[in-house]
This record gives sequence, structure tokens and C-alpha cells, in this order.
Amino acid sequence: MKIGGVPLFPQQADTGAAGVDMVALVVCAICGLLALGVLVAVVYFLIRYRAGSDVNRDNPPEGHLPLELSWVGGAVVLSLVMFIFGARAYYDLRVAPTDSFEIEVVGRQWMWKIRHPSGRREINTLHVPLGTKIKLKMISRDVIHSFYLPEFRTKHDVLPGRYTDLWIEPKKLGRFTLACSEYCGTDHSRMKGEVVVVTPEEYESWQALSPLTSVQRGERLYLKMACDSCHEYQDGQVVSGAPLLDGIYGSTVGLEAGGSTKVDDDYLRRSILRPKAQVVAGFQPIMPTYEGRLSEEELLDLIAYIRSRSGSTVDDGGKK
Amino acid sequence: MKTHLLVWLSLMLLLGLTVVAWQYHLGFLMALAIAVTKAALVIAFFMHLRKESPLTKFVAGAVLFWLLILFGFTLADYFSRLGF
Amino acid sequence: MKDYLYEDVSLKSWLLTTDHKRIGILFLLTITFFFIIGGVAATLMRMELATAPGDLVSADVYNRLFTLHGTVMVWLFLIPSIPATLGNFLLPLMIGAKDLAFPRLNLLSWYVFLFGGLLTLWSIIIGGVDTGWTFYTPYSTTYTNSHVIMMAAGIFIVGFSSIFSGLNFIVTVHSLRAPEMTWTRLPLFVWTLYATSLIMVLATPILSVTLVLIAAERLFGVGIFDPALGGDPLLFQHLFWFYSHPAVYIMILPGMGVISEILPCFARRPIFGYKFIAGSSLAIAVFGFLVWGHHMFAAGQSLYAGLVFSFLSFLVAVPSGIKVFSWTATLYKGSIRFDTPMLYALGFMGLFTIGGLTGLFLATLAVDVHLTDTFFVVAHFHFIMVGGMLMAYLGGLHFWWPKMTGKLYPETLGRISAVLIFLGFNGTFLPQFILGYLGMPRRYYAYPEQFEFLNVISSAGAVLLALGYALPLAYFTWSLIKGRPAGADPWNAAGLEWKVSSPPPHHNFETIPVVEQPYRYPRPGHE
Ligand code: HEC
Ligand SMILES: [Cu+2]
Ligand SMILES: [Cu+2]
Repeated sequence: MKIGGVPLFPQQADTGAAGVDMVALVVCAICGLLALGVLVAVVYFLIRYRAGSDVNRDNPPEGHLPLELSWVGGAVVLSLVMFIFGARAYYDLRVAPTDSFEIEVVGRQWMWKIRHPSGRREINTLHVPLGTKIKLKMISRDVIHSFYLPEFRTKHDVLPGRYTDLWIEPKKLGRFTLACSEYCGTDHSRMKGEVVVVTPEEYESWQALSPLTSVQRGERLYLKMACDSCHEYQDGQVVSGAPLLDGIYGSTVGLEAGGSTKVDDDYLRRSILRPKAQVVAGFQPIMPTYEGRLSEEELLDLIAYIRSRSGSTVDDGGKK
Repeated sequence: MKTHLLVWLSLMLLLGLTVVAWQYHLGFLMALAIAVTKAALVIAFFMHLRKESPLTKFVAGAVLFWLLILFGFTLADYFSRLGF
Repeated sequence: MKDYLYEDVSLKSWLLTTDHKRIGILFLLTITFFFIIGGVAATLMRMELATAPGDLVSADVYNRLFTLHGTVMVWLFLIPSIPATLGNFLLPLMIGAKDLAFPRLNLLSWYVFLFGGLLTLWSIIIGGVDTGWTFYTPYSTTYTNSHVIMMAAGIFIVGFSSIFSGLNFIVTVHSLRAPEMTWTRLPLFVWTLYATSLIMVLATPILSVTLVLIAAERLFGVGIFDPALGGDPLLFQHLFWFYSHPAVYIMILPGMGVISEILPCFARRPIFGYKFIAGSSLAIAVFGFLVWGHHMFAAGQSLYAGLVFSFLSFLVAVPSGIKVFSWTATLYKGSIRFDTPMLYALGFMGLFTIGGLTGLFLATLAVDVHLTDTFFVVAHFHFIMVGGMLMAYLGGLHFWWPKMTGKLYPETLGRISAVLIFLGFNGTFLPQFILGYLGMPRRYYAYPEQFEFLNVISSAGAVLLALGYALPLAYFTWSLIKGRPAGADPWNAAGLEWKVSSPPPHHNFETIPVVEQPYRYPRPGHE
């Protein structure tokens, strides 16, 4: 919506955007009515009871319990209404559907690096197919950033050391804003880009222009870093006392220190970077640390590869 | 004076227990329990809370509760993030 | 019998004074100085933002400006503003005491504040800090090369001033009330000071600890917040907002107290719902501690934590609603005069209501995801902090200026300033709500062309606002020399502070004052 070339309302580029705007409208209506009520009452009283006016001022009330209690009750009820609307939409916004496909985002000062399932990469631009549920799996190389898509009405902080996610379902072709909304240093305001929504066919042919998929890159890396020197069976024998990585994704593993944990992306990331922090039950802590030897992109490749060995192609939180 | 000495001795005892608990892997909760006992002894005797007015006791309790809010809500975030 | 100002005029007597009134004046001068510094930074920022490209200053300078503005305004102006000046001056007078419970601690509080404040300024002079007032990790601990430690040290020290004042106020209210000053007769301003002090004493230590942890990580590489060192950045946010959300109430509660004093006086009738207003202050102090996670809905906090914090955030809005309701009802059957303090109070009601209601947008989970870290948030908290607190502070200053100095200020200029500030404020911050919903992130030094028009309006409003602030500064100073004598009670007001001469004598009360019901308007025997 624009008036005289000045935009006053952002476009709705996501299927969820109308829902968020709807909630905002509900809150706006409730708050608007409350504000109007206060305004009308105050102005009326100010005029009617201005000093010197000839009106009845006998026994001004110093309190009125039923009135006060009903005001409190009313406020609580209205709050609940707003809370419920907001919470339902939030749940939809935060919980990605399991059938979404995954694009990886690595944030760093001050650019966004994006990698598609086919392995095609881009910087500060995100190509997405129309009408498809897309999950963005995000991590930062340095400080906290925030992946903000105003026309999609969604954002989420991109943290170092841990994967966070965001999901979208574009419903409009065109170019939209991508911005960093968590302050991250000097060029925070330049850390922005574009979301380009194209038709699924265009996206497919665009994606296809790629040398290697993440899984393929991950496999190469796996061999190059000699992970298989420990993590592989030879002639039905464990070679150097390391657990087999087939089929672990989504399962629960016991830990040497007691307790157990679920194998998801964050766990895999930790196991590679700092293996000694969570040693698998029954094994010796002999795996070397890879901290500082792998970039975030390489880690994502390795994880994609390990996942593929469990037959899982997307990060579905290990639900399978 | 005598109570102070006794309290001091029991604190030392608890200190020893902490070491033992660590050596025998009695776990995080055990260590925490011992630490809380130690803190309680210090507050009750060395800081004289035992002999203070009910108001002071109430304030001490309220502050403890308030600290639990900080820890409780923060940990609630962590645990629910881990999917417990 | 000389008044507290002229009893001894030597510089030494001021610097070593333990008189709560003089210490209040010392704080007044100090925070005015800091306000001007923070205001200059704000002016430069609005000038930069008047055009879309970053052209006036460099990005690094802009980042230092908003850090300076936030830090100075929050810790060196807003937090001490009403409690340390008006609160210090009025609390003993209002409860019929000769001074605060610990007069020397009070003086120490000022010295500590001054020292911490100057240290903070020093960190700016030697090159500034570029983390924002929120010091988010790991940027503040690992990545920035600005003077974080120095500034953190300054704020750490200033924190002790808060704790000292809070402690002093609590003990004073408990132990030094005049014999007939029961809890239900306490002026509502005292109630809010009491609630504020509770927050100061409980919350500030957490901020101090957090700042120490930042220093530990930055200096010694102790892994607490930086994941590269094994820490967790969200832990910082939990700790920081555990202090900083309640700190919002440190900043607004005393303002609510001031309004509760001004409204009955100029509506010439008792306040409506005394017990509800007093109780809601305490409720805010307590519930204010349960909602900090609403700053982290899009930060990586768990879904469930988000739901709980959102729910509680809605509930904490209810006590504020009670106050607005009671103030409105206080106008009913009044005999309303429109003197300067009243204009400020009415301005407060309007702006605070908008500020509070827009807060509900941010408490609503799905909407907050879109709006957090945008200009909507900037507009929202300026409505509370500036539209609310600063309006109340100026209203209170105009209300009690005759008491503090014994002089009257020019009434017409006073009214003009109130109107100017109200208009300028709305001009500055209303457009920012739209900018936020359009998706302009905060802390942007250059922004897309399409946002320029609204930003120009905002900057133009800021000019008006600056004029509005300059006016009281000028006529208050003028009134010290040329102002007409005020007399003990120029407003014909209730409350013990108006029973003593203006300016009050050194020890406030010669005899134990007689306490009546609070807010006995119209004044018996006068009207
Ligand atoms: C020196 C042998 C060795 C090498 C080389 C090695 N690992 Fe390991 N790895 C182990 C051992 C032993 C364990 C089990 C103990 C533990 O958890 O630290 C393990 C555990 C793991 C786990 C956790 C498995 C589970 O069941 O939870 C993952 C994932 C893993 N390694 C991945 C890798 C990757 C990827 C590489 C190559 C970059 C690699 N490892 C290289 C020895 C090795
Ligand atoms: Cu950024
Ligand atoms: Cu808050």
C-alpha cells in the first residue's frame, strides 16, 4: 500500500503473512478501542469539569470496587484473547512442516552465504520457488545476526555455535527484502540482500547449474579428512574402535558420562568439533577435535553426508 | 563462640564430603545439595539470620525465591530447547 | 532560620552535605549534564537519518553514537532521574522525616554515581563503544575492538549508586515515617519510590554480575557467552533482560507516582482508587521480574519459554491499565485547572497510553517476530521512556520547582514548552511505528530510499522536541535569578511537603507534622 509513492504497508509475499497481519489487526482493534475509550473519557471530563464550569461536583467517588474489578477482569480477558491469537500464529510460524525442503544459510560479518540442496551457492541473494515450503537452516560464523524477511513477516536470529531455523512459503513472484536485524557491527546496515521468488520450473533449472550436491561434497570431505580410518567396518570388524555412523541420525545414543542424547544436527556438529564433550557409551575418547579445521560450510556438508547415510535428506529434527 | 566453632567444623566436614563426592562420582545433584547446606549454615549462623526479626527472615526468603525465578525460567528455556 | 540553600553557601558545604535536599540538587545538576550529552548524540543520529544514504558520519561513528545515546540516557539519566532528584528531595518531606535513614550513604551514592558516570564518559572520549547499550555477546566479548571494559566498569559503578539509593529509600519508608503516617496514608509517589527501590536492590546486582562476566570473557577468555569458547550467547540475553526489563519499571514507576500527585492537585479532588494504584505499583515491581523473555521471541529461545513469557507479559500490562483507568476517573467531578504541571501530566497520560498499548503488539508472539529489532520497538520504548518518564519528570520538576527553589517560573512559557514537547515528540516517534511495520530494522545508519519520507518527518519532529527541551532549561535558570517568590504552597496543594516554607529549612520540620488523609482536595478552609 502506498500513498503518494510513500509505502505505508508492506507487501504480503508469504502464505503466512496475511495470518500475522490478521493478528496484528486484532491487537490493533483492541488497543485502538481502549485508546479511544480513554481519549474520549479524558477529553469529555476535561471540558465538562474544567474549573469554573457550572456542573454538579458533589461527592466525587474515591473508588468504586465493582468498577475497578470489572476493569481488571476485562483487561485480563482481552489480554487472553490477544495472547491466544498471537500464540497460535507463532506456533505456525516457528514449527516447520516436515515436508519442507532445506536451504542452508551461513551468516557472517557482513554477508549472507546461501547454499541450495543441489549444491548451488549464492551470496546475499536467495532464490526460492513459488508455493513451496522451504526451511532455512541457519548458523553464524561469528556474532549473532538475524535473518529478516519483512514481506514474509518473519525473522529469526542466526546464532554462532547452534543451528536455528526459519520457514517460508512464498506466494508472490518477485524480488523482496532480506535484511539483518540483529546489530552485528560496523556494516550491520549493509548486511542485506534480496529474496527472488521464481516459478518452481525456473528454480529447478537454476538449481541444476551446480557442480556437486552437499552430500557429494560431504562424502569427499569425509574421505579427505580420513574419518573412515576409524568410522568404518573392514571385513566385519570395527577398525579402530569408533561407532558406525550408518543409521544414527534421529536415534538416541547413550553417553559414556551417563544419560543419553538425541542425534540431530546440533549433536553431530558438536561430536565433530568437540568429541570429548559427549563421548558415546562404550568407546574411548580417541577422536581428534576438528575445531578450527572445518568451516561452517564444510560442517554442513559433512552433516548432510552423515544424514544421507541414515536415509534422511532433510533436517527434520531427527524425527524420521 | 562454641556454636561458631561447631559450625566451622561442620563446614569443614562438608568440604571434605564435596571432595569425596567428586572422587566417587556422586553426581551433580549431590554436589549441589552439599553446597546448599553449606550456604544455609553460613547464612543462619555466621550471618546471624537465625536471630534476626521475622521481617529480615522474610526478606531473605523472598530474595532466595526471587533468585529461583532467575534460575528456574532460564533453565526452563534450556531444557525445553533440548527437547526434554 | 535560613533555608537549606542559603544556610551555608560555601562550595565545601555543598560537596560534603548530607542534606537529602542538597543531594537531590546535586543529582539534578549531574543528570541534566548527562541528558544534554545523550541529547546531542540523539540529534546527530536524527541528522544522519534525515537522508537515506549514510553521509553525515561514518558507520562506525553512528554505531558509537547510538551506544552512547542508549547508555547515557538509560543509566546516567532515566534510572536516576526521578528517584535521585525529586525522590531524594521529597521522600523525607512527604513522610514527615528530617532526612533519609542514611544521609552519608546518600552522599556516597552521588559520588559513586558521578565517578561511574565520568568513567563511562571517559570510555566515550577515548574512542567510544559500538555494541549498543545492550552489549550483546559474542560481539561485545570477542569481536568488537572498542572500549567495552571501560564502559562496563563505569556502569558497574553507577549500579552501586542505584543500590545505595534503593536501600536508603526502603529503610527510610519503613522506619522514619511521622507517627500518624500510616501505610495507607503514604502519598502515592512514595509508594512508587518504594516499589522502584525494591527493583533497584533486587535487579541491579544481576546487571553487575553480568558486566563482570563480560569482562572475564573479554579479558581472560573464560568461556561463558561465546560458543567458540564453549559458552552460550543466549545466557547473556537471559541475564541482561532479567535486569533490563525490570529496569524499565525503575524508569517508569516513579513517573507514575508523580502523575498521581499532580492530577488530584489540579483536578482539585481526591485521587480515585488509592489502594488500587498503590497495589498496582507493587504488582508491577513483582510481575516485572517474570517477563524478560519477551525480548527473545526471535532469538533462539525455546517455543515453550516464548509462550510462557508472552502470557506473563500480557498480565503485567494489567496493573498499568489500572493506573490509567484510575487517573481518568480522577478527572470525573473535578474542578480542573490547566497549569503547566497538569499539561505535562495530561501529555504523559496520552503518550504513556500509546506506549503501553503498542507494547501489547510486542507481547503478541507472532506480531513480535515481525516487529522485534525494528523501529516499531524504538518508537514503543521511546513512548514509555520519553513520552512517559520524561514528561512525568518535567511535570514533577514544574510542580515542585517552587518548593525546591522558592521561585516561580513564567507560566506561559511553561505551557508552551509542554505543548511543544508533546507535538515534537509525536512528530518524532509516530512515523517510526509505520517504519517498523514496513520492516526498517533498528540501528541502521543507512536505509533504503523508500523509508526516507517518514524519516524526514521524524527528524523534523526532533527539531521541535529539542526546542521544547531547551525552553525549560532557559526559563528555569532565569527563574532562579528573576523569578517571583513562590510562598510555601503556590498550588494550594495537599501533602506534607507543602506545609514547610519554600525552600524548606535544613531539617525540614521544626515540630512533628500533623498528618491528614492523603489528597484532601478541595483544601478545607481554602475553597
Ligand atoms: C581416531 C579415530 C577417529 C577419527 C579419525 C574420527 N572419529 Fe569420529 N569418533 C571416534 C570415536 C572413538 C567415537 C566415539 C567416542 C566419541 O563419541 O567421542 C567417534 C564418534 C563420532 C561421532 C558420534 C557418533 C555417535 O554414534 O554418536 C560422529 C558423528 C563422528 N565421530 C564423526 C566423525 C567425523 C565426521 C570424522 C572425520 C572428520 C571423524 N568422526 C573422525 C573416532 C574417530
Ligand atoms: Cu546485523
Ligand atoms: Cu521488557
